[in-house]
Amino acid sequence: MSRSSYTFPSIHDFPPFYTLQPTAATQQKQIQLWCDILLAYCAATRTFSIDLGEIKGAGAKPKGAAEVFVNERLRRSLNREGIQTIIDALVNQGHAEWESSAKERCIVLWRKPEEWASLIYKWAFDTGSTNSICTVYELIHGEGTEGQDFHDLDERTMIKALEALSKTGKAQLFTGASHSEMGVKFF
Amino acid sequence: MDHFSELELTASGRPILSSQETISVMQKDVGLYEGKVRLHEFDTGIAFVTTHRLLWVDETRGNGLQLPLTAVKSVDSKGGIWKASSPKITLSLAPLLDRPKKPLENSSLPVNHNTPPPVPAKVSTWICEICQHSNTSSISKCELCGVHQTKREQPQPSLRSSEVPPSSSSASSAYSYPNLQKSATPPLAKEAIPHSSSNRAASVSPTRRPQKGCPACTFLNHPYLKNCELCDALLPDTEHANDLERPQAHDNSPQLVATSTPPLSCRDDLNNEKPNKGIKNQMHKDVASDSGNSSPAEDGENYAVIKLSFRGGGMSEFLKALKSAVSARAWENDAPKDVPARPVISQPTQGPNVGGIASIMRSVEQSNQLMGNTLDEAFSDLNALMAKAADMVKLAESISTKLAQGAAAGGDDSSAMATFRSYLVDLGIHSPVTREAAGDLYINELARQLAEFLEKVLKKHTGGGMIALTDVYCLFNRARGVALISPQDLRKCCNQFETLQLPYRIRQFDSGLLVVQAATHSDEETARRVHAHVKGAKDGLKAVDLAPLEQVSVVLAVEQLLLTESRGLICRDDTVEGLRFFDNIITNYVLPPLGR
Repeated sequence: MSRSSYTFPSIHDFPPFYTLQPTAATQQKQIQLWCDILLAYCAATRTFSIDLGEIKGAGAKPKGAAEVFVNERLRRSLNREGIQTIIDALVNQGHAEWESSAKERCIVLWRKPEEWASLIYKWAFDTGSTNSICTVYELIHGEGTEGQDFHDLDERTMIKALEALSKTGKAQLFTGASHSEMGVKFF
Repeated sequence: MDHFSELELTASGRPILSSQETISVMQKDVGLYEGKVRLHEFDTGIAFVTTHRLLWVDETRGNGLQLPLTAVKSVDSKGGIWKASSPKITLSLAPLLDRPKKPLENSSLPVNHNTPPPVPAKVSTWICEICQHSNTSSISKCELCGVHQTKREQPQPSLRSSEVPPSSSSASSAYSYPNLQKSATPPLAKEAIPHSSSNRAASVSPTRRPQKGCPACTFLNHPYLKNCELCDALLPDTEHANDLERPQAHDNSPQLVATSTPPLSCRDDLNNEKPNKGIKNQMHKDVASDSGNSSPAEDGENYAVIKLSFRGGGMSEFLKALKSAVSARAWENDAPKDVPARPVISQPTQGPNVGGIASIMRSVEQSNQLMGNTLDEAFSDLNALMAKAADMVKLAESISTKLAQGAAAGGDDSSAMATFRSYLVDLGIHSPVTREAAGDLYINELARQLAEFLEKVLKKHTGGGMIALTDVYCLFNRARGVALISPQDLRKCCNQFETLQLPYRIRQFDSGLLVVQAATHSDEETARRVHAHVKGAKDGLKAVDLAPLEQVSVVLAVEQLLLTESRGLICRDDTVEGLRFFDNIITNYVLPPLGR
């Protein structure tokens, strides 16, 4: 699947969307909309992490997924507090994880690890890879997984998915020198 | 209670006053007696003394009584200091039959008989031949240059020649008007007819008369001028201008005497005395006989007696105010003056030798000086200012009508003019409630007056029936003109709205902003209106944009926007440029399906 561009919905051009609304009901809906847009964006562009440090101001277009929070045309951007609120909400829903307590970077799990896990297991089952050992690197970059959704998956996300799989007893993880050298055996 | 008549009250339970009338004192817990009988129906109420009437209002039942002060013959008080009963004021009243229907008729002095009847409804104008100034038809001489009206509409040509300063007779008429009225009319009529007809012969045909040639420069002047317009030389006499050949000085003197004597001869007839007595003697006699007639002790049995019982104290001040109101006889000044702002301009006696441009300039100067004096007097001393407040309001009114006329004639009514006029109109409370007059009723009465005022203001200044307390303070004090109130008093008043069941409430927003709003006000209504405004604006609405739309101050507009926002109808866009509000499309937004 190629990197497709994502067209923002019309609400993305609505100036008040960039101000965290004080009214509880409105704010709740607003945060949910932001979460959905962010996940949809990440899914469409296969982005797995956001670096908030990229956001310099309303004028400059940041690199990576942080561009979601900036609208150059309107000269508006959601402020840091607003973004953190939204990602906190995502974390609560299990769709994101902060990399550190500084809340500078986060992993966006536009599919939850369990969902990835079932996709991977289905592939392993379909290709008869059960009861054999393959490396994580093979899973992400190998020829065998080309065309699969989890091809080119973020390494950390992959490991989370495999960990989830091993918890349910469908796989076993073997530690290696690095993440990519880790091995996995499907049952 | 035959003497009293029903009193009209405003919606907030205050008496309705006429335009000239002001309240001088009020006192609560006053009961009424007729003769010696206590009237239980009218036992507890607020008594007012105004310049024209004695009023009594029952707060709880919302009805009231009035008694014109013209009917009051004498005022007396009974102590009650050591007695068990409350102090009382006794009013002796004129018998009902004798009482004139309107206080106005009271003031008709013998001389006024000659003046044209006041025409309040239709005021036509005439243009002065000399200076082109347009005058109202009730004036026979030009207001600006003092020249007689020449055309046929002239109501009474003899008016000016027979006029007498009113002070000489008003003093004597203090208690004797029935006497004067009865006897004054027939002889006056007799006197007036020959006199005025002779005068009319002289002045009715001015257009046919030849112009007056100046003896010095031979310039042909208008027949009414006394001095030559060109060289200011004395012209031959007005009345005999047609016989130019013999303008002799002694010819004038009998004429002058004739014109100034009629009022005196009227008085002669009054007293049935010989006409050739000295003036001063006559006057003295008048005064003496009048005051003898009117002593209330003499004809006491003819008069009904009303008593006011002061159960809540405050009698002495009430008595003082009542006495001064009766003796001031303010109703006599009600006779419509031509132009209240400049009453003395058209005095006929001034500068009999001056005519033409010099006279015009002089009269303009005079009127300016007069206005200047009024202002000087008004501001020289605060008490004087209070006394002049009514005049000031009148002045403001006259300026505003003048402006209206000017705009109608000239056709350019700039917005500044309109604003100025609205300022003048705002000077609207001619009888402000003061702490001195109202005593311990002060806050309650003030609250009522404020409620009446708000009724006007809320209609005019705000769309939403809500106004910031600071704005109320400014507007109210501006309308009161001189008797300013303190912010604390205003706050106390507003807190009284609920207890007095007035249709307004004070309200505090979360930000601490205090507003006054109609009791019927609903936030839903405001929110809906604001929402509609916000919806209508394409690029969102700021508080400063909303303020003119809603006709409220900006602080209040902010509150209204926040109120609407809290209902989830609008949402904000907070940037460095300020807070901007948009229609809330967030709440009901549905993300389009993802196009994978």
